[in-house]
Amino acid sequence: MRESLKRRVKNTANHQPPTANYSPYLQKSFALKKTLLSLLLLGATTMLFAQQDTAKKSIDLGQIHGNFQFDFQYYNPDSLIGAPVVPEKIRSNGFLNLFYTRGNFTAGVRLESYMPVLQGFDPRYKGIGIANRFASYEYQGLEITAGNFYEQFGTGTVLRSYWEPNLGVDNSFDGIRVKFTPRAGIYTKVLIARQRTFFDRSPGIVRAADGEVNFNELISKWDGKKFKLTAGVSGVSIYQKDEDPIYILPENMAAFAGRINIGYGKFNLYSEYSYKLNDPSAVNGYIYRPGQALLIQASYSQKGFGILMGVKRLDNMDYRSDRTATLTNLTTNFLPALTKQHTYNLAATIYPYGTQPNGEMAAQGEISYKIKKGSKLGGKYGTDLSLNFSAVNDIERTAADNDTFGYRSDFLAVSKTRLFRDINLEINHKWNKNLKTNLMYMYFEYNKDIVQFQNYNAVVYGIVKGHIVVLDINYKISKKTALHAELQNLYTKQDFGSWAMALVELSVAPNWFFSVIDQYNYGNYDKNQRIHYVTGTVTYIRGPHRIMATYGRQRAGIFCVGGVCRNVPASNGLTVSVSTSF
Amino acid sequence: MKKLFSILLVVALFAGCDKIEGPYSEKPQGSNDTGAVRKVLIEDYTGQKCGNCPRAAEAIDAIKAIYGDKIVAMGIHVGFFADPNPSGSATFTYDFRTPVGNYWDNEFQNSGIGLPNGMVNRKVVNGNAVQSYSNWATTVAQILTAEPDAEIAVTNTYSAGTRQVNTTVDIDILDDLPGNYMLCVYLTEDSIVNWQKDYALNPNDIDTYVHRHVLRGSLNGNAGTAVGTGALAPGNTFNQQFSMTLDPTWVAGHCAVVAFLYNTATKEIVQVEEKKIIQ
Repeated sequence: MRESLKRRVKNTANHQPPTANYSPYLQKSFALKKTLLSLLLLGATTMLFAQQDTAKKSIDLGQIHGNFQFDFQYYNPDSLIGAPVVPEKIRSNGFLNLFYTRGNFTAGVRLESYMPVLQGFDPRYKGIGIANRFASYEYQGLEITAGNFYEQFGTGTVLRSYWEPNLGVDNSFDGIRVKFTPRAGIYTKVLIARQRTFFDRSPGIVRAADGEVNFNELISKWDGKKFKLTAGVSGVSIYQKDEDPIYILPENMAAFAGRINIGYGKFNLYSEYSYKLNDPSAVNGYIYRPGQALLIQASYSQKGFGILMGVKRLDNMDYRSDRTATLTNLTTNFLPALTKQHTYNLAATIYPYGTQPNGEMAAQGEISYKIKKGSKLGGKYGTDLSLNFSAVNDIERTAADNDTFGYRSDFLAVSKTRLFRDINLEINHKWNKNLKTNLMYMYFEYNKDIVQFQNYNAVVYGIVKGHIVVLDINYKISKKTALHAELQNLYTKQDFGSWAMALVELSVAPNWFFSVIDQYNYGNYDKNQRIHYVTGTVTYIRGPHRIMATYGRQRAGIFCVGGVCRNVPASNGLTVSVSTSF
Repeated sequence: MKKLFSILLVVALFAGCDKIEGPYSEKPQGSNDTGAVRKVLIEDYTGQKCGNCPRAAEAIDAIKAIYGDKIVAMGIHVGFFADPNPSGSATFTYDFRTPVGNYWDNEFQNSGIGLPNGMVNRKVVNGNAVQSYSNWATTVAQILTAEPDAEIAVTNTYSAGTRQVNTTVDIDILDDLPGNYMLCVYLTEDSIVNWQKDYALNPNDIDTYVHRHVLRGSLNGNAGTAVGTGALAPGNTFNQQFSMTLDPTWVAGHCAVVAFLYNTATKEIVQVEEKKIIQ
């Protein structure tokens, strides 16, 4: 949404028509392409100029920007935590993004390297190669893109592509996209593309269109009014040939969505509904039932007070450009979780909730309140309170007349099967100009069988219930040095039992950060597994450059999506990460 | 403009959808070939503690129901989900893993990709030989449209006293095959009854699960033995002999020899044959 907003501003306000002498310069820049490419590869990073012999003035040949990240890990076997012997001892992931812009023209390329890929990532990321390249041009409301691009319609329930290198996700579209703004307030997009899968492309072709009307921009009388209205519709169709000798499969799988955003002063209401026609796939178990998703979110905010409420229903909404794809591969849509995205280590990593695309009903509420400064509870600087609650249950399913249709499900019926519960309170207080604390309490329930393993038929782990308490302290020692400490405890009698976590981080501005984290599984029922996962990190930052070295242990994990489970082995070793942008 | 866009959008997208009202299944195809036939090897990478893996085994049954003997299957237990529980545990103590299975797992990274998965003649589909089981039938159908490039005949003699199987593999090349080729001769055991996790059942842990065509070992090393030198041509014939002594716990009547010819560069399998050690 934010990106499209930026784009709109660019389209309407910041658009400069080319100057009369644009073309010869462009030709010249193409003639210089080879030289430029060499410079790109050498890492040339600043604005390039050339002298025009006759006019003796500098000519803008465009700008090059980019970013780079290189992570490598040295692995030690560690039988206590189950870290395996890694034959290569060292593994690495790396990428370099380069963008060239000149006026309304942008081009980019990304080189990725996996030699071999770090443990825990999909080993189909293999070798080194150009993973992304594109060119785009924008003029008078029309923007064309050829090559790889990222796109999102609404919240993404029918279409969203994104790149998350630290999770090994890149489902970029590779094809053609046209964005057209016929007049202020009307935005249209059409694309046709395959999606990236490792160093190849999806078997399915994605054809999609989106139209959005911002009535406050379209109707001049509505400009600046309290009442704001935006509405959009999108449609996607994926073509994948059916050569399956067992099933008669649809070759064109379509999905549609409509969305509306209504604002009135401090109130805002957003709703999106999507419908997917028959799309039998590996993830839904080859059922021909259509899919549906509904999201409604309402919010009110004013100074010192905010309230947010949301409800969501998902039913058979996994949508991919390869019906046989699983895990995170080739997803064409994105289904965000209607639960708080925690950042504190134990709350975020031990029992994290992941959206269940095959079916879930969720509700979330959040109230934030600032106790005024100067009051008894607010103190000199005020106190921020935030209460958040989310509940996710399965959808109700009853047998269908035909197995291949899957099941029947009443749209409003909620299954009694709980998937997730989370109620948390955060109290953030600044004691004086040097000391700030945040206290969090959280109660959670996590259906490990379904959320982690999609095991709907048997109760093996049951619903893990627990409490988490976090104390986060930030203390400014001097102008240059600051101390950050966290103490966390996850209490549960189930599964792996309780965990404690401590973090101490010292920052010496502007270059150095030192931190030590200990994650301790003190409550494990198996006394031999009461392990300390200790890691120490040193980070050096200079301008845009960051070099980080971490030594220690990382826990193993298992994740399952779409009938496939992958084990992320534990590791023990040294990780070095170098990143920069220019 | 707005109207035009809406109309175009609706027309374009409703045209972009196929609604299947049933029947949902294709009619099974008969098999009435004579002479040399192309056969396909499905390598099912699995694990006894992989709760979704029985679905892949069922996919093989469905493919076999269509193509019959043209399908040769091999269950290869690898990785984390095949790691047995410590001896003395109540469940999952049996180790199905083999050095040869681990060798190919290391080559294709099947367990790292996530189980279940497998390969159909190791044919590369969308950039990778490793495929979801739901794509196996499609790949089988594609491969079987071509005439066979080679014919493999396997002859076994088994001595119950010594538990030794002697195997002769005869290869007739039927088409030009550029590159270098290797022959793998492996032993599988069918219908091993042991623990398996199955997320479709309650309880998940099944002690009487029938593990089909499990890879037990190799008669000629992990990567096999060379067939000829360089490219192969129609009329080339090869004869190789191998032997293996069966583990005392294996049921000889359930064991079969699987022989397959593959290109050493692409690893793609050209032809496969399976023969029980006791006819």
